[in-house]
Amino acid sequence: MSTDKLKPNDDIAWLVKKSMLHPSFIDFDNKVMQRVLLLNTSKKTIRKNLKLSWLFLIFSFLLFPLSYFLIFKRLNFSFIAELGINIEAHSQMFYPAGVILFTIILLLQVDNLYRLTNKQKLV
Amino acid sequence: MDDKYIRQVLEGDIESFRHIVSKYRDMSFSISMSIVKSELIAEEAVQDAFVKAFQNLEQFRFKSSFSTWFYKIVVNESLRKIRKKKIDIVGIDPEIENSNFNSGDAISNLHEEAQKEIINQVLNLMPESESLLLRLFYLDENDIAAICEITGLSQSNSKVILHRARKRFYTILESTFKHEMRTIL
Repeated sequence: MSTDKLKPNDDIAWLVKKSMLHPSFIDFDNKVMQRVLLLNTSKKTIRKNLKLSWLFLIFSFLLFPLSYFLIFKRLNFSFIAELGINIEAHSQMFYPAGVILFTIILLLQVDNLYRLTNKQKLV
Repeated sequence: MDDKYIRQVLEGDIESFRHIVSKYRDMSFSISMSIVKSELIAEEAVQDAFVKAFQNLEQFRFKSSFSTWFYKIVVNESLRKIRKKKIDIVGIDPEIENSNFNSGDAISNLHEEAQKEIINQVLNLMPESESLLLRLFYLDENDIAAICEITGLSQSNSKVILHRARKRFYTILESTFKHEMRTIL
């Protein structure tokens, strides 16, 4: 039996103070911490993978034009002539086509990585 | 004290977040219960709120109190749960009247657990905005400015709801108390 009667004005404060609830789930704290730790681990992994992706993108940006140029110079296009295609007429197109294709792929990758990086910063 | 733990979490000591969880668990659960009126959904909402707070801890500016910032997340998560699960909360709407029921005298004669049960029953029957404001104002002793920040309500609106909530609380308390007494007797 409680005898701590309060003045009418303080009644509601006194009453509502008794309304503190506790989660019925016993392991509440551990469950939250488990989710937080899992989130932290995946966040770290994603950040690491993002760094690697940017690094490889920069590598490919530097290495591809050089290797493309070298490979293109050494390529033997005779199999194209065997197919009946006039190589002389089309050879001028191959190099710029490769460069354009590379640029498109590179820009798409930069865009994707930029979005993903921004998303990670917001999360 | 909160700032110390938050800084530790931001520096990579994830275990420090446990202190925050145990400190705010009960109050945030009570806040969520005011809105969703279901223990299961409230637990889910509070868990999600803690995870969200952890995710966005870098955005917390140490100028304001952590509790205000966190309770805002709890309120938003609870409202999101209601919308997601399409819970239709119907608070009872008794005619609010000036009651001369002396709750202090009547309730204080009951056992502690019975008092708690009746008060939570009353709060559960109230509309979510009213029970939420009562808990924020009286249970956690937030001022009106903090309540406005947590709920997104204007100052005048908060005061009106709080005033209405007090009246409704006594009206529902009186009817619940009488009903309980009839059951006991």
